Amino acid sequence: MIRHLILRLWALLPVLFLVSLLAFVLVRWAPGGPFDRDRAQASPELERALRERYHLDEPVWRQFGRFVAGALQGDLGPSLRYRSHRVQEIIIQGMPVSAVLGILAFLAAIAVGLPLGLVGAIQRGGFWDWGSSLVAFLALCIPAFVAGPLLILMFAVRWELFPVALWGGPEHWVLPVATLGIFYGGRVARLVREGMTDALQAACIRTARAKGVSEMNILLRHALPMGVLPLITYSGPLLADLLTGSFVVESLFQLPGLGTLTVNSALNRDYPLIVGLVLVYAALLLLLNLLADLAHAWIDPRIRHD
Amino acid sequence: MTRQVISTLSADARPRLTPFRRATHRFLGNRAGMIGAVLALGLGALIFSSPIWWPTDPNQLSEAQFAAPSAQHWLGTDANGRDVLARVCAGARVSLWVGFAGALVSLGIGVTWGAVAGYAGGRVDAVMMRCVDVLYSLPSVIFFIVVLTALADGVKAWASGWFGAVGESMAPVALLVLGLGSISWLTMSRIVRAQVRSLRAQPFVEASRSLGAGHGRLLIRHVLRNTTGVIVAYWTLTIPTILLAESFLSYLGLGIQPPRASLGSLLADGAGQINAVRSYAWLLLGPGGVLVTLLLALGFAGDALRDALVPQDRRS
Repeated sequence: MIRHLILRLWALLPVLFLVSLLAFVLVRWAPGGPFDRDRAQASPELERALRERYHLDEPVWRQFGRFVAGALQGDLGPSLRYRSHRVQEIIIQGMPVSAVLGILAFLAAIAVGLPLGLVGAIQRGGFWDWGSSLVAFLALCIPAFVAGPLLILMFAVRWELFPVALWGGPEHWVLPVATLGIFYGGRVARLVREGMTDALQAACIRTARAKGVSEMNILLRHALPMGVLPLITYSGPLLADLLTGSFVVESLFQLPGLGTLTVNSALNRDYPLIVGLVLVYAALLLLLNLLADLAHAWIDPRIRHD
Repeated sequence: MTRQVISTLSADARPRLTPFRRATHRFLGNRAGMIGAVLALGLGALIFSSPIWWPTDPNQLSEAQFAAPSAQHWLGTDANGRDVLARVCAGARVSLWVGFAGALVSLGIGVTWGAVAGYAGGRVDAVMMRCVDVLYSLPSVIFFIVVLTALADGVKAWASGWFGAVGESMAPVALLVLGLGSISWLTMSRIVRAQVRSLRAQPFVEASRSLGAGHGRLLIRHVLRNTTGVIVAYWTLTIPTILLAESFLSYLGLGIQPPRASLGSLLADGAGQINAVRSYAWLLLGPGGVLVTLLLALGFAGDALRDALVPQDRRS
């Protein structure tokens, strides 16, 4: 088991290498440079000096070699926009807000989506299935940039129940978490309904019914572990998305997280920051997918490897 | 009992029904899908015919700023006194075009990529699908921004070179179509590859090969033709995805540029007008409502189409 885990972790390294290489080349291929948007347009001499200072005048492969050497020692290089900061410092600063928001949105999505999906699977074909499916589908069709402004307008401006923006106590969390969680709640509900529908038709459920296990027990102890497997598989990409922040929510509520950083770094052509953020996202995605696989194997002994 | 047997028999003994007819029956029998399809077609017809039934110019400025919805302006007016209903219709038209054409671009790339990978197999397949894996692990926002800015100048030069002034004004739309299409093909390529791989091993393909059919004929006539249903089904589901991506980019200010409107840029305008003194909910409810209804209708119709064309993937 440990051996398997180490092998899997080892196999992630080439993917991370390729992802950062791709990001590295892609951002340099796009027109425009990191110093185009400086407040005072740099003179040609100054810009040449800056490019030299940050090794942008070197061939791309050598810049990439420099980046890999630094990254292996935990240094992602200087930001070209916020020049007194290293990339890892900026990322570590933005991480907590995005992470708290993401985890809360994930929990909210599960708290709403799981019962919604369960009701649909249990009452399959009935009124409650129809209703819960409609709600889930509707949630999937409401993007954050529709839900967010409307929620602010109603709950923060009209009824003044929650603060309009910023990040402080729990009362600040409600609206951003709701904005972010609606879509994912719908997604979770659909996955659970699908998984539970399949699980409830399995032969072992029929056997359990035949030997007289109570409906509640069948549902919670026999069907639920099987039924949440699709949700667990999807949790990897879902959490990676949520933890690295959402631009829409962060810019609407003016939160200092990774989502705004991602969009701004790409707009500013802040090469090292873009590559650093891509690397963080990819590493999170791959690790969480690995975790999801492990959880899958833990719940479902049939797919264990050794 | 007897009656049941007979009915099962007669259900099985319907050889006259082609796969297409059977899929049509399944689609027509899906109530949610039919509602979605009717809604999507109706809304689409309303949006595209809006210059006839709502002839107000979407860019016509007026003195009536932030007028609430009334008989004269059904959805009110915006900060510059422009009619919101006319702008929503014009914006939805652009969004639908981008969604539809972008889905076609993604179809072309995804099917070619997946078919070649699945048909070639072996090392070519491994390398091509590893590329897809790597692209999957890039955050899509960065991908969007980089690809859009990289393509921008080329598309503009190309459009104005070929179509003159009209081409130049359409360049941002063409850019979105190409950019979004060249990003959203990853899932399609995976689906097509899986289909091609399983079909390739079928006896009828082998028989054709032993008769001397070339690779092109085998791939297009025998393999791809049998995946049409799957491709059409997932293509339909790509349209709302691209529509959503376009609205998101226009919301960020990277997509459709003013004075032209898109549902996303209209929503951004509405979100920018939120303040504590007065609220202008119609600026959000108009474009938001149309966007959500479009996504809902297209999603229902696409799901039903998939259930009809790919019954083995059936969810309900």
